[in-house]
Amino acid sequence: MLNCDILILAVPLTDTDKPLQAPAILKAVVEKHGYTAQTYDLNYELITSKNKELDFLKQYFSFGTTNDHNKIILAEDYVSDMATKILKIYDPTFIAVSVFTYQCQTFSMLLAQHLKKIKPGIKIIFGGQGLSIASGIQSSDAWAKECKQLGLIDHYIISEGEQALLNLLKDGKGKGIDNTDWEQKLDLDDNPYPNYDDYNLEQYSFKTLMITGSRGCVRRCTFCDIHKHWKRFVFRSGKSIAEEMIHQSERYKIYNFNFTDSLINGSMKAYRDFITVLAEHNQSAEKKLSWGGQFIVRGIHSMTEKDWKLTKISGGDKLNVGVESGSEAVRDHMKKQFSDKDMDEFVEQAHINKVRLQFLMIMGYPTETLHDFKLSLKMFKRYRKYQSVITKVVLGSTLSILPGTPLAEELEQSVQMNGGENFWVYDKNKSLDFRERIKRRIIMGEECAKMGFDVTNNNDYKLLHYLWNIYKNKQTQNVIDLNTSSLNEQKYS
Amino acid sequence: MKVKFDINVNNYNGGPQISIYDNDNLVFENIFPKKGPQSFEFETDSKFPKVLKLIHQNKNMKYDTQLKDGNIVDDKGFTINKILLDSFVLENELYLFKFVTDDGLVIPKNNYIGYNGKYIINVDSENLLKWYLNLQKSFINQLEEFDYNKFKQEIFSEGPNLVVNYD
Repeated sequence: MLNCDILILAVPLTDTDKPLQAPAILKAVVEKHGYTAQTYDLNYELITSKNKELDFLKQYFSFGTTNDHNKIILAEDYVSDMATKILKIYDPTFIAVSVFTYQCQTFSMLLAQHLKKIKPGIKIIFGGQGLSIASGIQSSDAWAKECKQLGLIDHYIISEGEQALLNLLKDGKGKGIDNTDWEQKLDLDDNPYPNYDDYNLEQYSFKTLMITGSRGCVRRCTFCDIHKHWKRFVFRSGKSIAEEMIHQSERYKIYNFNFTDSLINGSMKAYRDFITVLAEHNQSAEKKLSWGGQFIVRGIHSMTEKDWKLTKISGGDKLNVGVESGSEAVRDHMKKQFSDKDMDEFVEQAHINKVRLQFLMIMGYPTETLHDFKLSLKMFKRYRKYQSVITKVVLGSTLSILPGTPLAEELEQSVQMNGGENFWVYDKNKSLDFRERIKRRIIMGEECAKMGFDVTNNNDYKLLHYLWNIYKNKQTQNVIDLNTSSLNEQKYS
Repeated sequence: MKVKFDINVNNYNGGPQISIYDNDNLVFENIFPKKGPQSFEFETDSKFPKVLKLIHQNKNMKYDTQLKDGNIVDDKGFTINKILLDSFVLENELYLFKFVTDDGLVIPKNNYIGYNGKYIINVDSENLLKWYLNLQKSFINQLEEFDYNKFKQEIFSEGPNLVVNYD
């Protein structure tokens, strides 16, 4: 049996074939301070299991509900087996459960229940973004607080876990521990590299490691609430990011990386340093590194031809670009801060340098007129010649006005929400109701597909169909209506 | 457990009389003579599962409803706007509970209590949180089969059709 101070678990359900990063980061952090830690990815174990009832288990763990109540026992048994198995392998003082989204809540609760049943003295900690989201519960830590009151867990950590977990192991209390009073870490260069030693990286079908270069965002886009969570934009030096990638690739023999950042090129200075070091590495390396993630559009005056060349040589690929709209007026209202000219230069450079892009679009922004919508269609028509590098167009569903976003706050007096984040009507553009937005989404999907773009459609339509049924039955939309079990969707949302 | 009700009262002929039972124990009782929105709250134990029954009683269906030309113009009764069970809010979920009149008539999807009878909240789980999350998620199982063409037809069946000429 493996003794350790803390066992850190990734739990279902996150629909990803990449190793989840949080347990690896936390292991590295606590080990740096002299504690012993082990990690275990229960999420991937479920996803790749040969269990006959896998679909049921995934559904049940994601939503905690089923039509077939006779099957609930199967889920209970599965979790019970996992709890028994874990406690046969490990003998930890603490078990930390990484609750990545609310879709990990059901499994986490069941697991805690079974762990406590088998070993009542075990100390259980819940942490992660999934603690904070549950519609209808009044405070951001209400779910975790309830779990604590029920005796399922001993502690919970809201938001950033690195320092809080150390404080918990050391003193049993601190900021962000059993409260919402967490403090953002300002020096990311101080973090050790994530430790994947306990992961069997060979088994993951996607040979990619996640990497974090920054937290927060330089922009204040009106539809986004990221700045509410991360009060400051903090970033690592470009050199340190590149060094981590080189080090991790040598250690784990994985050569592709995916950034968790809201923007990879938020700080151009750090970005330039990063691509310079990595390009130099790639020029002589036998196994060349590649990377991708979310990227902001910059014109040629800001991201020069040399930057583009280095982007390519450093391994930049599949950059997710928040284009949002083909109308400059709409983007101006969104505070995206790039012009049509910037956009044209950006795509042209990507094409010249063969850097692949994925366009992220927003359908039905409050100020979007029919003319603006047609400008988006025209943009795709104009960019047909760049299809070799525009590998995917992500249209999503239709814009939801999220609480806490500038859009929700600025338009509070002039937007009727109609019982859901997706159901709004803006007083100054009343014809753009939910039905009209779905129409535009359908037309955009069909036209882009006709032009030859690879468009993600089916799941978005299913979601829209579902939301439409809620809307027309005058029910109320809540957070669980938005299924974000996929890792990429979570990043984008 | 702290329980709070937000209600909107119609106070014709003295206002409604409300009792609340936690399983078989009476935990709250009052008459609400004042018209309009108001709240009441009480404490009860946190042992689950349990059945909370809100009972509306002593309404005389003959005299406690004011009619004019066959239309109801005033009434003794109330609308339940919101219920709080500790930190869990029941608002949209109010329509998921049933109301059973004293005559045995079951009225589903209803938050106006105009008859004598029982509004029943059955917390059929040992864990309030789990029960609450399941309740919220009940819509997910009710989704009809998705058919793109049918969906498109429905969406485009009303309102002006978009012109997609964007040359």
